[in-house]
Amino acid sequence: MMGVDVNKLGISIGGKSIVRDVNVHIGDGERVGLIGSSGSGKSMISKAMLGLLPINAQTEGSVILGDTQVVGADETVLAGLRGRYVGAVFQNPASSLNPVLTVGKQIELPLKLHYDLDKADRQARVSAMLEKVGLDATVAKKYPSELSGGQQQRVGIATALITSPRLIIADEPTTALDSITQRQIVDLLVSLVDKAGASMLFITHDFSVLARATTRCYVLDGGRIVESGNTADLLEHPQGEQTKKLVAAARELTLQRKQNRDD
Amino acid sequence: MRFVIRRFLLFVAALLAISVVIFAALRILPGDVASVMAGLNAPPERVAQLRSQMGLDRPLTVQYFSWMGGLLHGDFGTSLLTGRSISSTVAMRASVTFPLIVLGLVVALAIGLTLGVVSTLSTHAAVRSVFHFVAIVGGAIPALWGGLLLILLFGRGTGLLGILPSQGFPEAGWDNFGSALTSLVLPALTVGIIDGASLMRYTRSALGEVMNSGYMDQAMACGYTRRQAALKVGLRLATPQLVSVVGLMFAGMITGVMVIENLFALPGIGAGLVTDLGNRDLIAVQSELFMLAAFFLFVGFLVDLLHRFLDPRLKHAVQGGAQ
Repeated sequence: MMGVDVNKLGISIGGKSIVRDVNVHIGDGERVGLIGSSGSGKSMISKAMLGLLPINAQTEGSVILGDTQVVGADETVLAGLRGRYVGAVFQNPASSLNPVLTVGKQIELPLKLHYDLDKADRQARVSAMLEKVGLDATVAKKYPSELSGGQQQRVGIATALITSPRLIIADEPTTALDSITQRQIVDLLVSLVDKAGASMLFITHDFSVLARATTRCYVLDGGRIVESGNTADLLEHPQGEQTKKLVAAARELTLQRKQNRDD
Repeated sequence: MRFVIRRFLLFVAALLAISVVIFAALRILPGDVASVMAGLNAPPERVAQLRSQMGLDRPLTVQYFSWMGGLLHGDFGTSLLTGRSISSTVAMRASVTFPLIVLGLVVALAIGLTLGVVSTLSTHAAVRSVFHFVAIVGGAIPALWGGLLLILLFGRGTGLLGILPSQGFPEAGWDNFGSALTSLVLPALTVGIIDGASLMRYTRSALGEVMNSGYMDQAMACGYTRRQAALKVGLRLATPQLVSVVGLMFAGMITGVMVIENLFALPGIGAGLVTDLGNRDLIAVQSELFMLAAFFLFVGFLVDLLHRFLDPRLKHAVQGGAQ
């Protein structure tokens, strides 16, 4: 199991403060959301947790994954965590999956980097993982550009989960997808994370997506946490201005989708 | 395969078009080899007689097809001035120029790629600034001045260290391998250092762009360190862009080394072309220009194929469309 404790996290780039005084706790096996509008600093927090901040970023405070302090950690320590104990699913698979690697090699990479398994064993695990994310085993030989957006994101999820990591960081994994595929991808991610007993940080700007994916969430505005609590409660009774705006936007979006479906 | 055939047909069509342009352009130039041979004060009858002997009075279409017919059989024609086979003259000159540009390219790749990668991966802003400065200054050095500087430093007889030949190419050519190779070292360094500095900037730009992309985050999220991701994923993703730059650089070198060949007194293609143009040796010039254009187009054709091979996205992007 791997819990996460983010304490007084501050991130600035080129003297400009992006994130200030952020405290986030994710318990073992818990699915927690981080919601905020564009530019609120959500992705920077996820990058800080993965040790993927730009080299000119300055960080203060602490990010503890399990018993490892990520802030200021050596690059080899971080690389040892990433892909093994922490898996990541990114926003746009078309611009994150390696375009010159076949899907099979892509999913196989974390296994190759962290475990001493023979090729046949790795390939068997890749085939089993493809099945789990609802893709045919023949997809392994294809390149990402041969797949639809939804299929590509399934490959992204398979790559993140192939080593059964203890924590999944999903950074707006449905933003680049249409509404029906969004729902399928969220449900798939939630069921796989729950089955594996892993924890998850789900980042989004869409409350309707967040409600399906998480039980508890933090609302981020201007680089600060402005509200936190049970996701369903926040959706029903938003307190802060930013939360109210996000909830109103989600309601509008849900109505629009319903109308589109009715049409 | 259809893509290869289509690109090859385009290559052939471009060659045909360029052959017409070269042929026509040289006919527009004032004066011809007959007037050069007959001398400035020769009577027009003498010039006309020479033109007739050389076949320059035949209709242009007949001259064009006779030239193209020869090219198809690998016969570049005969120099109007020296009477020697142009194919053998060009082959002799190419035996100097091609090794020179290949060596120049090796130096440029060694300098450009290595320093480009090192400067992109450096975590120290000061180091990156120094490399940036070196790339700008190196790329701005005029070839003539750079070559002179190397001659002054290393040239045998005139240079401070006096360890390398700086003039000419052995009479025996590559039969005298050691001497031929050493005579190309300084010219190749001149070409390589200047183009290497430009290549370093392109490498920094191409690799830097990939380093800031989501592909790097994904690679590192799988368990690579930043350096491993840059070397194993970043460089591979920057390769198509660099192949274009290196292809253009290589193709451009064949005429770009003209100044270098003159400076180091090398009997190469560029230096020969200048001489033949001065003599109005039409058949020689048009065959040489055609060969240069063919080389340029062929490198472009290879770059296109390499691109397709290196980036699967290009293949899938046109699937279902005009392939």
